[in-house]
Amino acid sequence: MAVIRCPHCGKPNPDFVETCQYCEQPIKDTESPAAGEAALSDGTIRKSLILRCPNCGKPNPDFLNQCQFCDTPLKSAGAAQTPQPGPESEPAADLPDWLRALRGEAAASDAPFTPPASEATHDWEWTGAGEAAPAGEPAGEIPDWLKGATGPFTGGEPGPAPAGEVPDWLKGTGALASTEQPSEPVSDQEIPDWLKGATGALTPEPAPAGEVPDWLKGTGALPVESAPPSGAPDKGAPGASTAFVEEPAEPALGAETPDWLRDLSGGEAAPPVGQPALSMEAPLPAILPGPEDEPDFLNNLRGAATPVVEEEQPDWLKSLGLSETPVPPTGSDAPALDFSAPAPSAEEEPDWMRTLRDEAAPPAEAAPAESEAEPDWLTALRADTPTAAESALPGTSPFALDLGDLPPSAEPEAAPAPGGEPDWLAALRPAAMSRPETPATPVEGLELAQGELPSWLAAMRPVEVERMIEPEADDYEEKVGILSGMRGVLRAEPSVVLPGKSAVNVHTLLYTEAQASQAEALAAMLLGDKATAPAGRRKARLAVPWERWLVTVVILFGLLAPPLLLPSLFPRPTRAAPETLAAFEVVEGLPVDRPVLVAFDYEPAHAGELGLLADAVVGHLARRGVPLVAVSTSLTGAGVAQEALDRLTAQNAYSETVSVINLGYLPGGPIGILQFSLDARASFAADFRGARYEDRGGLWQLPVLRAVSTLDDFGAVVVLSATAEGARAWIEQTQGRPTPMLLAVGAGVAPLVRPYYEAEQSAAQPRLAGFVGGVMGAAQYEARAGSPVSPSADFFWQMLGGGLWTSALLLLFGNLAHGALQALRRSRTKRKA
Amino acid sequence: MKVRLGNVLSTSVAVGVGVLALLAYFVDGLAAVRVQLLAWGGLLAAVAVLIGVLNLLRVHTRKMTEQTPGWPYSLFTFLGFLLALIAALAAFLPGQGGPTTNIFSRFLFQHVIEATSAALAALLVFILIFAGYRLMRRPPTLVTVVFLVTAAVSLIAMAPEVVGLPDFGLRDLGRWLSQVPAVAGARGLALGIALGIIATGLRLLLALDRPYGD
Repeated sequence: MAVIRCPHCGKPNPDFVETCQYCEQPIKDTESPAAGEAALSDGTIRKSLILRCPNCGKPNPDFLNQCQFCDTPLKSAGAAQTPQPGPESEPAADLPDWLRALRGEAAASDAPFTPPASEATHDWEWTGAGEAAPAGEPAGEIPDWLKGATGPFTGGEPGPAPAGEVPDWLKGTGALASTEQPSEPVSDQEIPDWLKGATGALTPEPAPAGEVPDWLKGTGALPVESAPPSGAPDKGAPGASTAFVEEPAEPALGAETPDWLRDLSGGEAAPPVGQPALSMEAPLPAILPGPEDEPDFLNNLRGAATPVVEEEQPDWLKSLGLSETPVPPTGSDAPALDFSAPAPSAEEEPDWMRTLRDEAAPPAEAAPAESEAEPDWLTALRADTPTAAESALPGTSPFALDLGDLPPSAEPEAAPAPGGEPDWLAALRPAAMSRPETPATPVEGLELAQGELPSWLAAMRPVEVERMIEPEADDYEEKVGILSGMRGVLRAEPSVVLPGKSAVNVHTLLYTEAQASQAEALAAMLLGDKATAPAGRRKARLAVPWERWLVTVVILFGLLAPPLLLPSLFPRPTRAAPETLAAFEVVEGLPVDRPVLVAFDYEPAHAGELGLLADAVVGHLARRGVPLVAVSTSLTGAGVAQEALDRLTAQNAYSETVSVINLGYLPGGPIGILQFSLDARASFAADFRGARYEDRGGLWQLPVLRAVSTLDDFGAVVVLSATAEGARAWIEQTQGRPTPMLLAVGAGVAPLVRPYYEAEQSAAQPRLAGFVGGVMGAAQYEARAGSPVSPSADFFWQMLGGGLWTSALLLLFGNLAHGALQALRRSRTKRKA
Repeated sequence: MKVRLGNVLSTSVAVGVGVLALLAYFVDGLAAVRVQLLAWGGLLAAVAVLIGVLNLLRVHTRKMTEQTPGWPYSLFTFLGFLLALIAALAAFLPGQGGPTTNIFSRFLFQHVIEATSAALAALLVFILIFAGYRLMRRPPTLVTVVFLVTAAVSLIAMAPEVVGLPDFGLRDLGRWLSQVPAVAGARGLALGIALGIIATGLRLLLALDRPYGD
């Protein structure tokens, strides 16, 4: 199998592929230089140079920067090797023969190949040969067996090999000069076991004309004068192992040549003419083994190239079926090598080989037409190669088979190995493997026969993927970061976190036709309403609440009409309630030397009602000359208290600070009341005006307060409260005190404080002695007290009467009217319904 | 559990003072302690009034500066406070009396505070009457009818007698309504209030309710 180097990436590819299996670039571009060649600017072609890897020592083309085997930099500073250039600008006429042969050109080149002067290489690598040792290369670095090999790089006679350095098995090949290097005979003990079974590989028999395969003809192992068989297939295809078909090697046999090798060479020593077996133009694939594990194909190579005298052939070699054949033609006439395993003899053939051949027995129809004249061993080898019809699986490497999963065509029970086949070989045997038949496409300008690969080697061929792989099209354009606007870059955000919108409309509304029609009708109605709405603005009309105005008028009339129009409509009461009479009695019986505490706990808003009560009760106290001490638990109550005291003072000639004083606001609510009841002097340091009376010894040294320290020092407590809470606070915080208490509350609070009054009545000496409620109570109190009624008092009395009666009449008649109207409307509605 | 010292101190003071005040009702020797505690309470109440006034000023000032809806009313509130303050400061003028009894303060009190308070009370009366007058515009119910009748009878009972108009026993009925059913309801309210006060007091003494802190 020839190896073509990709002109783009420089990696080796089989010659039968058209695109590089690494970079997928076309290999056989007619416009690009051939493998191993580089196009120069002037259009000429120069040979690619070979660089030895400083690490592994394998050859690499010069245009690579790294070793293709171990990735070691080839062109580093420490690289000692220097490429051995060929001709920088080599005209086409100076191309080597093999290259010319590829292009259809005749004549071999005379330019010797000088390998780079480098370190040691593998023995099997052809490092160049020629008449003289390569320049700069120690003679010992080139394998001796290869020194004599001729080829496109030498173009000449193979050089003599130093004695003792040529492997015995190779001495008989045409790579060595027969006159100078008589090979030593090799006994059977020296023949490795693996080689013994190779039948026919080393014992070529003179093949009749037309039977020698092309690949064998070019090896040089056959006699030079042998004419290539006419029927030899011209397999100049990519599959042709052109590298090994350069020139028939002339074995140089001497007395020391082993029999088997002598047999291979055909008994005649003839200088090999032609090219060496191996082409160093292209780097040897790495799969080629070392001398310790010669592959079969190489054995076949050497064996077929060396005609062996029949009487000297070992049995195993005889079984190969080789016969003396003339030297196969070289160049374009050289047939392709056949790597089919030769058929060993029945006695010498190892079991594993026998098994291989048996299993790979091709059908009769698969045998090529020229198989009739082929030796048996060759036929057996070719039969081992599965054809497309036989294959059940696509071409797969034996290494790719699953362990324990034998191919369908595998027959483990039929596996031979009664004692000879190693297990690894049995496992690697591709039982069912097919490979599409590669059409023998001849290389342009080269008539070479395509060689048939052994099964194990064919399995290594790259498998063409039948399915079409769509080229990956990445049209994503980055939008963030510094790479924004670029394509073919890794996404800054992983696609898994990118929000995606489901293409499926999950919110599909399911509805029936009836619902759809109803919806349409509703939409039409709404649109119609919008269309009919006038665009003009309506002038806002002031809504007159005539009903409210009417009620207002009625109330005002009721309030103003009696005092203005009917001043005697409402006469003053002549009877008093019991609680009012009791209060009167309490006030009437109070001593005049003890001040009375008056709590003005009402707001100015309630001054209309409570003021009348204050005038009635407090006025009575004032008329009796009882000292008054005013206090208020309300902020504004102190002011109300001051006004009341001022009025009373003016009416009764009270002397301030002697008969009356306003202490002012008592903070704390119930706490203040409790504190005042326990220690009155601690609660106030100044009166309502803020005067401390320091010139008189302090506030509590005033005549009205001189005898007061606690609540018990007061003669009575009169509570004027507009709320039940205020009254209750005084009642609750002062309970247990002997000081009697009088309540003067509004008409609405009277029912709430009456329980306290009624609860006290059961006691022998109730503390809550009297209770006056509302304006009516005030009027009754004044009537009992015989107080003169002032004109303003009478005016307010009349207004009170008119307002109360008006309110009551409005409630009654108004609701009656409304009720009647509602009933009428309901009846009308019912009638209409 | 995070325990803050401030909360512990305030709670301890509140509970301790409450317990002492309660015990003072049963122990005569603690009367003086109770009086002292009450005196301090009175001072705190007076200071609380001052703080309340300052807070009120802050709220209305913020409303004016941020011009929230209704900020003109806050302006009038602030102006009224300034006027009252100025009137009170006028007491330092010679011969003007005290802060609360000088002519300016009395003018504001008599012609502003009392007048507006009385007007609001009168408006409340009118609203109540008008609402009562329209009570039957909705479908009448038993409660509505009873309320209406009770209100009318009570008003008539409180109203002065009309010369030459017999009362038809309405005054006695009114008096009975105000002294029996109303008092019964008032007693129930008083009992409920008393129970509530007891429960609230116990919660305060047991530090279950801490209105002075969180």
